[in-house]
Amino acid sequence: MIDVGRLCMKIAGRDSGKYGIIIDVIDDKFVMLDGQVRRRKVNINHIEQLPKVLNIKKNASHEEVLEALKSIGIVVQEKTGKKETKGETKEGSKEELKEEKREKTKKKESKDKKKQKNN
Amino acid sequence: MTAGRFKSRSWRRVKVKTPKRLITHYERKKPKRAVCAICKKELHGIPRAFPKELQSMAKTKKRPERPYGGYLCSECLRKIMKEKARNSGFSK
Repeated sequence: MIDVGRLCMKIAGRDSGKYGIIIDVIDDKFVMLDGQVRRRKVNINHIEQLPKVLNIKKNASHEEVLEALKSIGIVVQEKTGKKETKGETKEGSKEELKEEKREKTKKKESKDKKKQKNN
Repeated sequence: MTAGRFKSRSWRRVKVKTPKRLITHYERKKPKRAVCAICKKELHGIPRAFPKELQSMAKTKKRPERPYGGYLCSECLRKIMKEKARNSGFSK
């Protein structure tokens, strides 16, 4: 039943409900999986094997796996580089906040001085 | 004398030792433990905290990071996912 190119669905963990293809059989317990799931070693108890077997080489690259999945109508959404843009905005806002704080402290100091003078 | 509102059993009584005597403090009861929606088993990885405390917690600290995390237990999730796989178009 377990062989290279078999279509599987992951049923446990963060990637559960996602499709993947067996790229390599490590031993009687573990296989390498790639596709919608992250490319990683997977316990065979954590996957549901489907009857469909795709024509794929052992240790095929991620691109080859994606093409094979596309041929049967499974689309894999690639991650977009959102993190970089987020980091930039955060840094900018942090600097602004710092400046605001400095101004506030300055104002407070001046107020305190005035109070002391009045006293 | 206790205040009228503390006679209600929706407040928990906690005995506190002070240097002079034993006194009772009144605290709110904690919310119930989260359970699986299907098998009613207790869920792991979900804090039993007040809503106010949950507000300041990170999302990843409040439920497991998987589909239906914090709603179904892992065993029930597996059953559902198996059914989903067997009913999908690739099972023929």
